[in-house]
Amino acid sequence: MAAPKLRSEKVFWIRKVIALYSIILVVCVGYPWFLYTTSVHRANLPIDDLNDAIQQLNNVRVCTSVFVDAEEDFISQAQLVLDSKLATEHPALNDYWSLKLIPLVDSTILDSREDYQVLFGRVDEPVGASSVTLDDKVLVFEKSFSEMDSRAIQEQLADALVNEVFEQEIEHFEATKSSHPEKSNVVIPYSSKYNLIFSLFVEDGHPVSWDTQTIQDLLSPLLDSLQHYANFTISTQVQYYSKLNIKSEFDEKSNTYKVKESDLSNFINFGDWNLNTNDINPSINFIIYYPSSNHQNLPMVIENSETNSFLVPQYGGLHIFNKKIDILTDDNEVYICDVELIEIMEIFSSQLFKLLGVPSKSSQNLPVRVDALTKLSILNNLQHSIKTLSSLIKLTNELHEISVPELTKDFVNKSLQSVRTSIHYLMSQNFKGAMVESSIALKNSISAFFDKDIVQQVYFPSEHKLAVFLPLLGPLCSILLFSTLRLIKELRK
Amino acid sequence: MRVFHRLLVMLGLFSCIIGLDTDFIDEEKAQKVISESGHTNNWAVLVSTSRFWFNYRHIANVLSLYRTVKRMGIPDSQIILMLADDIACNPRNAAPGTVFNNMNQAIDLYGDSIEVDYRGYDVTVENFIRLLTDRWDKDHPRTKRLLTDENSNIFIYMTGHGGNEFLKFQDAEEIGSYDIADAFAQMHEMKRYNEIFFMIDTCQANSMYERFYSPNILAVGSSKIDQSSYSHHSDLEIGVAVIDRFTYYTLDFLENIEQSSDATIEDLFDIYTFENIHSDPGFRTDLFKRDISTVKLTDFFGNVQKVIVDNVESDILYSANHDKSGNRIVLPAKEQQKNSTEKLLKRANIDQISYLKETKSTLVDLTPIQARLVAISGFVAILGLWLIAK
Repeated sequence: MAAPKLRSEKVFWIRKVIALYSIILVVCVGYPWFLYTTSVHRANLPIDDLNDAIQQLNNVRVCTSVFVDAEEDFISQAQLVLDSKLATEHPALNDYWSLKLIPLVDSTILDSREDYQVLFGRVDEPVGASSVTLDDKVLVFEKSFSEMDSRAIQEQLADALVNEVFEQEIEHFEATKSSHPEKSNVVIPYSSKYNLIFSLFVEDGHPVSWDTQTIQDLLSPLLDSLQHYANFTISTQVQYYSKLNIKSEFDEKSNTYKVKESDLSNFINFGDWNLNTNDINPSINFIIYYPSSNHQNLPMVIENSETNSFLVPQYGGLHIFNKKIDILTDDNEVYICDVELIEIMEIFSSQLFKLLGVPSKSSQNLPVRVDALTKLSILNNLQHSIKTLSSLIKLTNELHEISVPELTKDFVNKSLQSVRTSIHYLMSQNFKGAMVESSIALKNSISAFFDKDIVQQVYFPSEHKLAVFLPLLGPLCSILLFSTLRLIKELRK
Repeated sequence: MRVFHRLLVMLGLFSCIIGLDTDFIDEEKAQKVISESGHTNNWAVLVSTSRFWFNYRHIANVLSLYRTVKRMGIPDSQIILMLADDIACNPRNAAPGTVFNNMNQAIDLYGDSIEVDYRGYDVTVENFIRLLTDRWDKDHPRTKRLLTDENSNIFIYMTGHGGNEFLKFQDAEEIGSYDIADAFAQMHEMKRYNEIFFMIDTCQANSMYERFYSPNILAVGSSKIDQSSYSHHSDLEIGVAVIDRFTYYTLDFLENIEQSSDATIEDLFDIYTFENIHSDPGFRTDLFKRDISTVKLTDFFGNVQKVIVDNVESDILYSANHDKSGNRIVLPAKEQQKNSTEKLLKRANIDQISYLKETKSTLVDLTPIQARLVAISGFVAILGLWLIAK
């Protein structure tokens, strides 16, 4: 009888050791693993770096160099005149935006479309105000300054710069500094890529053709001047049987079909015309509408519109195209010739500028306006990026269950890096580089905020976690619990 | 009742044909609306979360509101429609390809121009939260995103089976009131709305909006806690209930509203009586800044789109295409510029981040090292057990 007892004692001890071993395993290995694998990952976001960037952005000063073809004494005096003029006329700017006059030494290294220059002509004329012309970014005084009172010409120079060349820019910068910056409802939110979609909608089935290469050729110099601002792709489409939702009235006086101004908001038939593009980047739509009344040789015109066009805020533009010469036979294909396309593209490019928010003043020329747009967009993008990143950090602090993936942290770091680079470029007057960097900063900050992995755990609270794991862990735990109780009982004996 | 039905039919048909021709908001009015609510565009998110044939009424509810907001001028591109089931093509549907919200079968809600953005198993809690917070894969199509900004007024309508602080999605999962509240908070943080009008028709619906804490949200629910939301009537031909009471009376009211209407949210709320709904509808206005007696229904249901006529500059293209002396800029110059475009693009592309993690679909996200550690510790544990028991 001794042997079985011995065996049962051995079994008893082995059972105890196994139970103990299991408990230790569950407590020391299982539980930490469970916690580790079910915890929400929250990467540490670089809050200090963000605060630094905010500080840097607050200290940004936008300074633009103007090369003046004159002696240094004259320039330093002119600078004083200019500074005092800016301080008195635009106190809100307060050093935030300034101009720096620099002597022009070697004109060959400068580009008339890149650098602001002031040149003085060699024309000798009787005393009086000299006429000033602006050509690209070159401001030309027709008279040589030696013949005039240098003080007068300094004032004229300051006046020309502040009230002529940089007028729009100053106005916009002042607006951004004011406490309630006015937001335009026309301008499309900034994106580093846009699709320009040129659609030709024909009311009936008459064949109409156009040369799409001409559109590209016409627009490419304009788009090239904006290449640092954004990347534009052009696509075109022609669609037939595009009926209107609204009715145009026949006006016997002018022998035209008139579209009432109040009907225009329903002119574009969003339901029937195929205007959807499944593109990831924002689209700017330009629509040429070719009405069938052309074949009765009666044009369709928009009330009170000289160019027969209208602009849809944040969306695009539309032009009703009428053939100027009578169409004699119905059989021939109607061709929109280059001259007509130039006129249409002129309208569309003006609308494009409005949609992009290019500061408008007709007396200013293209490089100056693009420059103003660039500087304003850099600051907008930087502010937008910083705001987005701040929101992200605020959000992660408020919502404790939200996950913060490493990828988000990467994006935040990259965005902050670009913000710093952009500010550095901006201070060293490399505006194009600053623009490119600010656009990267914006893109990365948006990617950080809208990272798809952030959502994953939001709607997965701890009750749900329990519900998922209970069927799995419940039976195991109950066995473990009861055997532990039994073990304790037996040990007490 | 008969008269009312006829009216509904007439209005429905006519609004489709002539509605868009005759109703417009003149500029003065548009300005007034804008100045009051501060919004420039309208969006609608309409969600039906129920599957199966006997939940016909939920799909009919949502499609009725879809038809209404479309009639009032919100374009399809600004309506996100989520339908968890396609009852129009259900084999039990006696009239295949149609959905009706009334036993007189006057208006086919399914019609010929309906754009469903998320259907069937795409209607999940995750996708709904993603939609609101706009957190998607980077190649998610724009037409399926809620591209709102700080000037957007959003109308959100949800229907399905709910309970205390939850709404069931697809019989499989549920969204909690905290989830929606947090999503709204994120939208507010990212300036994704100007004002939200949240309408929900489920059982115990009022519990869904109690947790909201972000500003400028107006909420209305069909029934209070421990109350059911009832259906209005059944269609014997179809064999199921076709519409819920709350939605029925909402539509009954909205059917008489045109794009230029001055009716306010308060007028709408006045029809939500216990006699009509057979439950206690609830409103939440404390987060909303404006007085609801001054808020027009068209602030949420209509769409303001004003256009700008003319005002065109004439010389932009010319100055871009011509040099100082008026000659057309020729191609060589352009090619040179193209080179620099490439350079700039190269510079812009330095931020290419590899989305290695994105393709992963495992339940527990472990790195290979972690997985190996799990395997080894498991092996050691079993080995220990075997050694002891041997």
